Amino acid sequence: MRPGFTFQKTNMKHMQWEGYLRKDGRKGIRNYIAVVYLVECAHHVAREITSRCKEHSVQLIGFAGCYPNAYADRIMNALCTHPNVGAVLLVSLGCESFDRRRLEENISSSGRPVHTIVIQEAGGTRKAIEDGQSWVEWCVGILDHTMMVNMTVDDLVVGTVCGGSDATSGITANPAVGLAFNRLVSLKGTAIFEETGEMIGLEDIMSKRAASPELAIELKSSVQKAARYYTLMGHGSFAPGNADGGLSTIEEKSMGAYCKSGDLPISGLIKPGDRAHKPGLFLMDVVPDGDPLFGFPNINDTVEIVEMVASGCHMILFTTGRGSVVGSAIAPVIKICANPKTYARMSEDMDINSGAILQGEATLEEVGDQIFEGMMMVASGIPTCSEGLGHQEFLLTYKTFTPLGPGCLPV
Amino acid sequence: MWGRMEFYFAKPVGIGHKVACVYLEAGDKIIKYGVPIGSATKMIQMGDHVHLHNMKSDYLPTYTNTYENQITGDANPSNLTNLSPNQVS
Repeated sequence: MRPGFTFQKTNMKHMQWEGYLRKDGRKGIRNYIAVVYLVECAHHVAREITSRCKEHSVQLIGFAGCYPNAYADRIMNALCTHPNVGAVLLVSLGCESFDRRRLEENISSSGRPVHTIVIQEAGGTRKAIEDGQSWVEWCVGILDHTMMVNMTVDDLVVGTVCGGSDATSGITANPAVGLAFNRLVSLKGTAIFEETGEMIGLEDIMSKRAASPELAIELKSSVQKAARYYTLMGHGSFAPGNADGGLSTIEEKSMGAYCKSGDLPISGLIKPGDRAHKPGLFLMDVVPDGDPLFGFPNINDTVEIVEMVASGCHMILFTTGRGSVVGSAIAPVIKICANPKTYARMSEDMDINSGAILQGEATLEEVGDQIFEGMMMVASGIPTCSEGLGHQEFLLTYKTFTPLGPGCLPV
Repeated sequence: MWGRMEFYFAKPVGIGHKVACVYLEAGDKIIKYGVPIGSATKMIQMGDHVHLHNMKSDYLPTYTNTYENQITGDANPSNLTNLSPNQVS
């Protein structure tokens, strides 16, 4: 299963590879058919269709809720028109409130093949599954003829998330991702980091990196918003495993997490589903605006990954010390294992062993280069460990956001 | 920054855990990565293991699965009015 990250520098010498050109002009690194349930009641039908089409590049995503939510609507529209997605099958029960017609129109006007199955109109479970399966099989033939296009680093959008952190995360994997991000941004790529709830205590340090004074204020207030939100919820972004792994406080976890962002200037602040307006380094503010309405900002790591993918990330760099196994639908996840003991136990799930730094077997710079080269290889089509193991985690929840402030995206 | 220091531990300390390289009184800021990451809740000797049993967050309490460790910091909303990390004592 292990897709052998052998770091053959030669095949990536020119840092150029073939991607998939979408009719809206965007360039993807995977050519997926997304099967999308629009309410939990349609989940089974969508899952059956996906499992019957397993040999094709099919990805299952969906929204469980029956009540409408502008955020979920926006994220779903962004995901269905993501550059890694070539075609979309929508599966609706028929009576849920998700606006399937507008979603279908948006997908269609982006030039992607789209088909909607309404289970109530199709005549029930069995007929809906058969209908979906035959559409997906028809669609595979269309996607086989997707136009290919040259891609280089400046076409890439990469996000980073940490999950299952321990005290090694902030010493090895996160600063190594920071170095890879520095390199990506200097080559005119786009890098996104997030989780303002894990920047509590760092707002002054971070806002000094803002590209403009107005952005500095926005960065600072996004962290203050997170601190207020988590205080009202009575629980910070901190799991028991973090403490077992040697992290004592949210400030310590924050400092360790923050170094994933490298040390270049910050070009802007975006919210989930917003796309970066130019290449550079961006902070994603994932904490809802206003008082807590739907609970914790992100109930797990997968929700954060989904938001970054909705903002156009082609792939995710995921650092872990305790040993998370997650992957993601739509975008490949490169896992960077911070703790050498965890790596020894779970190496099949880990693409990069940054714990080697603690054992004196690699330097931080070497691991940073490995991550960067790994990004290029994954972009060229080499599967990550989680892709090879079939991971397709996905979760979309309820949230509320107000639009970005005027200082968030300085020209 | 500290050069080479040698300590003898009474109990094993896990990978990535913290050890005090200075003497601290209760209330002193714990500095790591050059910034405060919380405060000492009791006296800490040089070479002591520093974790939930002797330090706490200045922002939000730290949650663990062990009942006695569940609250090791005080959530103090008054901190929210001054989020400056420059609170080094």
